[in-house]
Amino acid sequence: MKNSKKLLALALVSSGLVLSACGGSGSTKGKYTYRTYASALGTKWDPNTWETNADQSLLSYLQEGFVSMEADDTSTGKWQWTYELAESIEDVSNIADLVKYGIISQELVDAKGYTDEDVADSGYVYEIKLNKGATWEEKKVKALNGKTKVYGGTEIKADDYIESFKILLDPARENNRANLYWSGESAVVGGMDYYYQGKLAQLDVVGTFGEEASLDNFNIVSGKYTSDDGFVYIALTSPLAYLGGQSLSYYVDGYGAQIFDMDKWNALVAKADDNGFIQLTEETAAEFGAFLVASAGWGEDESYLINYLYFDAIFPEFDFSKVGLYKVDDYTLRYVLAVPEDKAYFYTSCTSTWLVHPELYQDLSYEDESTGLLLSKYNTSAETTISYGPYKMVSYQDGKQAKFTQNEKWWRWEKNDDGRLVSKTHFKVDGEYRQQYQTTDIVIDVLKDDAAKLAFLRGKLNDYAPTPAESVEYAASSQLYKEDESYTMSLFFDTNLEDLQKMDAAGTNTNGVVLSNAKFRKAMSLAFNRADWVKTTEGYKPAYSIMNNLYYYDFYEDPSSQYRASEPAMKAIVELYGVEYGEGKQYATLKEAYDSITGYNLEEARALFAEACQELVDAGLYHAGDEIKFKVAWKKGELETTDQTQVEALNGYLTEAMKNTGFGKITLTPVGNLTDRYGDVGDRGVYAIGYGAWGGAILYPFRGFRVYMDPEYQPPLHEGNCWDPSKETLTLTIDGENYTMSYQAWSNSMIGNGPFASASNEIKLEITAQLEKAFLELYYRIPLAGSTVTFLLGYQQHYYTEDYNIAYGFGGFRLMIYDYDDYAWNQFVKKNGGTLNYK
Amino acid sequence: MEEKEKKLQEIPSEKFAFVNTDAKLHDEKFETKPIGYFKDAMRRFRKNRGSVVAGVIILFLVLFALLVPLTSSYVAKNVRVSEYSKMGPRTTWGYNIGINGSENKEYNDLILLKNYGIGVAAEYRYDEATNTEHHATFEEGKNSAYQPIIKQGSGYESRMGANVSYYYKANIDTYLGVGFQYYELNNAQYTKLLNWQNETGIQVLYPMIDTTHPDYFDCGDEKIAPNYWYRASSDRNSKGAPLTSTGAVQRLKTDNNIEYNDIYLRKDGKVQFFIRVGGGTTETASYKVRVLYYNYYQYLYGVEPNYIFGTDSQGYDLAYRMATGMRLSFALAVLVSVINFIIGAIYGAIEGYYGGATDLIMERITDILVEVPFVVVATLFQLHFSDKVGAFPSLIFAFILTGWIGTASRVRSQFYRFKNNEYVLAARTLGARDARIMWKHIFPNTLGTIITSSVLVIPGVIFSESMLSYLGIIQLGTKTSTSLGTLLSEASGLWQTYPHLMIFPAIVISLLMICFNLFGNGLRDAFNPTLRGADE
Amino acid sequence: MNNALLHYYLLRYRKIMDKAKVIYILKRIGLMFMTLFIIMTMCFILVRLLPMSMPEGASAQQQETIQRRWEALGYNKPILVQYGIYLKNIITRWDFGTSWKLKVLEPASNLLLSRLAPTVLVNVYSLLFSIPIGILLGVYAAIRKNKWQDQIISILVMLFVSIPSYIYAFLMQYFLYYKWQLLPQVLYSLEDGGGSYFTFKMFTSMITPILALSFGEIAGLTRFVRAELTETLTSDYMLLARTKGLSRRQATYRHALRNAMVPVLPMLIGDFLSILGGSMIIEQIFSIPGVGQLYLYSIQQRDFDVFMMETIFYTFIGLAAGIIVDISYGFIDPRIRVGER
Repeated sequence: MKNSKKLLALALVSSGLVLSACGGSGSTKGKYTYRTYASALGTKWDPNTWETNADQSLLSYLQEGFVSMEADDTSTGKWQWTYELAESIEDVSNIADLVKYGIISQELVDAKGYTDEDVADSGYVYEIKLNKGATWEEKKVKALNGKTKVYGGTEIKADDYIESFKILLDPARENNRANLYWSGESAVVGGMDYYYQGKLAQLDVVGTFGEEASLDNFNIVSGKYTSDDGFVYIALTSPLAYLGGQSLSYYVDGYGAQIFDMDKWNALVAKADDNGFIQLTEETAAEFGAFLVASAGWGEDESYLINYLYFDAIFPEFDFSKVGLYKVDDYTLRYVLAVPEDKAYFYTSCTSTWLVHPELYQDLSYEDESTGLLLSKYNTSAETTISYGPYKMVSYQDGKQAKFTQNEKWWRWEKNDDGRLVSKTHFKVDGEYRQQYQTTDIVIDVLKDDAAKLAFLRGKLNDYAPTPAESVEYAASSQLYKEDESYTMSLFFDTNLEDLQKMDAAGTNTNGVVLSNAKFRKAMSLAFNRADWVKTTEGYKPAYSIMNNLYYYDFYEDPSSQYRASEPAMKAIVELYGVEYGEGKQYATLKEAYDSITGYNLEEARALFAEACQELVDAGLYHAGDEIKFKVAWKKGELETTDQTQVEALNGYLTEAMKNTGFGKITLTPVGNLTDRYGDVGDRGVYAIGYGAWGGAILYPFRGFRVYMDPEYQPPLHEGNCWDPSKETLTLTIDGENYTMSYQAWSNSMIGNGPFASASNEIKLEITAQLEKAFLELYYRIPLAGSTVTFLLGYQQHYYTEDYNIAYGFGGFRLMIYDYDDYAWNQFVKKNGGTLNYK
Repeated sequence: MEEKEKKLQEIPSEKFAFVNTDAKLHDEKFETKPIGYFKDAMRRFRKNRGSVVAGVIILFLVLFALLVPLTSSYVAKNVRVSEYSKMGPRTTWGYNIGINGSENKEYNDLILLKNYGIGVAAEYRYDEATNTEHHATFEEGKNSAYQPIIKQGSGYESRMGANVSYYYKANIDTYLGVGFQYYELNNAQYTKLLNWQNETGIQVLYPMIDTTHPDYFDCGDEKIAPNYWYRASSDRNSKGAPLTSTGAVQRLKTDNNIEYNDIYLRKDGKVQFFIRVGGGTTETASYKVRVLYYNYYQYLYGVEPNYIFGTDSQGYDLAYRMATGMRLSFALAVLVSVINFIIGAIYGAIEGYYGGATDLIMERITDILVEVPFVVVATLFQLHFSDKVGAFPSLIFAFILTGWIGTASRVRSQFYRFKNNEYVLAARTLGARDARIMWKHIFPNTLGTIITSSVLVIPGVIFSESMLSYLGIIQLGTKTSTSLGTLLSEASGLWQTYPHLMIFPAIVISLLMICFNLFGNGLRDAFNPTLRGADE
Repeated sequence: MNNALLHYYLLRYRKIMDKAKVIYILKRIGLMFMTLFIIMTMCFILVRLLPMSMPEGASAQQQETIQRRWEALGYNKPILVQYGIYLKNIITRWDFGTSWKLKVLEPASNLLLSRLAPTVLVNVYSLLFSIPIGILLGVYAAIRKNKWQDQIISILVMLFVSIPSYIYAFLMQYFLYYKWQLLPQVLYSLEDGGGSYFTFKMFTSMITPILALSFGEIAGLTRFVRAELTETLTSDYMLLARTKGLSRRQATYRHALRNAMVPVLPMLIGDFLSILGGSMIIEQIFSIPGVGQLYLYSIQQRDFDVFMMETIFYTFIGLAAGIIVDISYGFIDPRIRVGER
């Protein structure tokens, strides 16, 4: 494939000017450079404030976690937790810590006589022993006050972590990554109070003042009750200490008219703002008192008003000593959780740490006039970046290129005989200690896709992600790698009749009310020919359930514990699509029945559309034969031709299925440039149909449904206007017993202190599968397709293993093995005429 | 010197005669008709060969844009065939002279093996009555009409990285290369296909593949999976290479007679042509079938694939999309230039005629608008209005905001030149109102130059639209229409792999630009009276 | 230069810069600032009306924190109040705001200056390369009017004016980098290019973008010069010069060419000044971290202060170019009385 070099006859470029254009300086012998590209470079890789994936990819070279997930035995797919910055992480829950941080009151301990055994392994307190020897990169940095000083080069000790945590949660900084540590699963106790100190919030009157709570704590200014920091409110939906943490609305919804006067209650609700507060004035106090009196069954009068009040208050001062992270000794930390967590999940949150170099962070901080916040230039340029990972940043040019090289201060580098830094893994992979981080330099260039392809074929890039359309060309290449993504693209709805009528009136849709009919939505799902639809976009795979086959429920113990392949999961989907199996039926076994499901059934779709049409006509909502139009909240960015093609295909399937079923012509039209399409459909009711994807948390399917059913977890729910999962209840039979709970309760039932948190995996599988079926049956959401990512790896190196595993991929960047060093690689490329063939 | 004078006097008087003593001398009637301004311009225009040719080409392109969508065969109308997306030109009449959708490139031998497999599988026959199967040999497969490889050249071995690959120069018909595809049909559709196959005798349905077989190669792509119907290796270095009955990997280089052992789905010995899928009861479940797509295409559309320019990135006929693209680009350009023409003329006229204070103010307005950066305005308008009003109108609005200023300034300068002429003063003294003077007397003089400038606006608009589409600021591609710029920007990412996606639209857009520029120059020279008589 | 000539130029200079002209120039500068202000306001309002966008997949608490930062930055105040704050910052502290997205916490002015060098350099080199060639071709075509050389040059000119720049930019990148492997693919980073934009190595990486930019420039210039020169060649004073006995060559150079240059020079000045715009497409294809790309990204990322900085910069340059070109008419050709009613 030698191509002859044609000399260019341009007048300017003299024929002698042949330049061997190889980037990178210095001799290339003994160097292993990994060159990759990005369409946009990260702009801030400060652990406390990074936002985009591009930011995180830069940060990943500069840090290590306490622990990491690495390959153990690649023949069986077994993986292992490995200790990195931590030496060990143990659950050391004990009474002293729980009392010290107010999780249990001392009286309760004395009354019940609890000892450490009672709370052992309860997942509240974890002790992290630090690996001795980890050190900071040594770097000369010019601080904002102009003085240049040497930072780092020292050992990383417990104090570094404590100071970093203070900076992370510092209320004056409002770091957007802080929320990982003051809210959510691995929230530290006291984190929220420390983070919010000095900020305005609403507090429960009885909860704060206890017995002395009374109306005279507040004075009345121009008819309104005021506290020293703001106003006073009647709290209809917020948790009340007087009702043991439940809200008044919980009881009103529970008992309704038997006990409460519903018309007075509805009048009150009408006055309340969207988090259920009514400003307390003489009139509203009297009205609420009248409501209490009128609700005879509740047995209270206006004097009980004080128990239902919240008041504006600036969060009180909160000393860091009350935050659940403290130093036992120079190399040991204790982390006290607000909500208990099992060990495996806590390990997952330990794969990255909050560590920054405290002194450098402070020296680069400044008070920003426009926002009044304390901001820091830490990790926003090569000069202000300090690393504690295997690599350090050499240069950064915004919008152009970032370069890294070996961080000689990284504690696992050893000098081999010819003076180069090498490292061996401290854990065994397939029985041996392997070489790790063979890469000596990393170069990330900003390149457009087609330019990247040319560079890759010239051997100037080590990887290239072909566009799906091109990946067909490389199908036979041994260098092509494919990875499934955990995201499932689906349509989600706003089925609330009023919303739909409002949208029809506003002209967004025509006859959008048909979406309120459950049969219509089920017919839509069955009408979509998913196997054909995936052909519009290369790399798509059909999906007809919520969680695809990347989810594992007990991955730690058993790497083959795939949720999708479990018996209850298959049974749920088979029942959902009404497929019979067994002797004398179409399919003999459950597996066969499950494999036959494609989510597409034209026959049933047509029958359902006919029924739906009849129901809608009888209800007077629709006139047979009228045209139906929907605007679909399709995309955040600019619409492209593939988007139009995808929607065209959906229109085709619906038209095919609606032939002579009574419905008129249907047209979906995509809308782009939407900043928050989820809120537009699930909260503000601007569009009736949205298109989006959920995924991630692939090791925790049992937590999978909080995203769909728990308003507190992810407000607003994508399907927020279809239902209120905190109110609607679901009855499931588990082990022969019937349980009735709200959907929200079910979605939290298997975690934290939920009723089934400590149930066996079989039971948890049964519940999760039933939840998936129940949710899909509502047809508030129709799954369409999953996607795969393909990329090509250059010949200069190869991955440690060829078969993909969701925990360690193909062995990852860490275990990558080089076949050529840079010098040999350039020779190899030249020998092949300067261009390589990867087909 | 004296002789000469004498000779003159000696000329006899008889030689002299009076010319016409009887007829009266007065002007003769003009033999030619009076040449008006436009007629003169036309005459000069025709002399400029380049512009005339350009004009003809533009006419041809306009006709192409209008007629192709109407006259093209059933298939071309905006029917999207995702199986045939991004394919080169292919026509039945031009098949043997090279328009056969083929790509002459270097292929990995594993790809060639897959393609030969298609030929072998296509010759498979099954006789229901006698339950006998006919398995084609490699030779039969090679000569099959459905075998995609038109010509296979010499190959060479290349050792890259850890393994060896074999590359061959080959010429493959990408349409036949699609090979087999899976489809889900309900009862009615399945029976209709069966009847069509029996009537026409064209084999469409082929046996299903047993995907649970240990030697089944799962390539992970729905579009290619149905072509791995034989025992194949799943090893990374020989993906999909056919295995012999003893399981040995066969590569094109070593074996000339490749053995394809099928792994068709069989139920108690009987090969299965469908499996029931889609759930539901036995009556409502659908049929999943494996079809030879080339014939299935004829079943669906009744014709063999005919695409003069090939297909675009989504699977539409590229000729059809280019026609609609040109139509949209024309409409956009003409609309913008007409609107700019009108606004510019009115604004310039008022400015030029009244002069003084009004001129000063209006001049300042144009000063401000002319400085507004066009790309920024286009981006902001798209982001604000494209959802409410639609991408096309908001694009026109962005062009118009500053487009008319050029015409306005030309009209203004012409008005300054002519407004103090005697005939204008005469008209005013005869009591003509301002409007009449402006439009009847002064404006026709400006007509020549501003027509030229508005014609030259058209290529500018087409040029900017293609730039904006490339930058991703606007996107005009939908099912029924697209724009030349969108076609080019779609092709920008793929042109190395699918060059035809860029070549044809690029030729058309360049042709359009060249012709309009030439035509515009021709017009400018034609309407320039100072050139009268100056032509060489 | 003996003093007679010096005297002549002084006289000429004083005559040009008489009082009417000075007033005219001051008036133009005043108008310029007014226009700048109006465009600034329009762009500010248009961009601040754009809806803000959250990073994809931000959790509820993250969204709340980002929401608070936007409040602190005053994004949900009424637009006019925001504009007041923006102007106050400029007037009192000469602070054009900071970038929150493209180069975090970097003052917008620094970001613009740091991105100016590559754009200006590539464009200046491309102009230096294309002006001489453009003029030469233009003159040659005009002299050989309607002969075969003129036809070829006109066709080439038509071709390069019409084909969108990104098509021949691709082709050049494909051939010069991939097929013939003569030149680097894209502009080097500062690190690879030897530390600054002025090293020879960095220059080699600029050659392809320069060529890509130059084709359009050469074509435009050739067409313009050819048109001007053909006009002056057919004018009366050329006839006069020939009748006075000048040879064809002398007449052409001494008279026709000089007069043809009159409109060309201001156009070149305009070109030089509008360089700073840079071509967005060439900068994207050759990943040049220049001012052209910055404009588009600042809108897409809603980096308001950077966008405003660019708008002010562009508009100011555009207006300044306009004034300089108008004044330069006066200098080059005294006959043109600018501003005559």
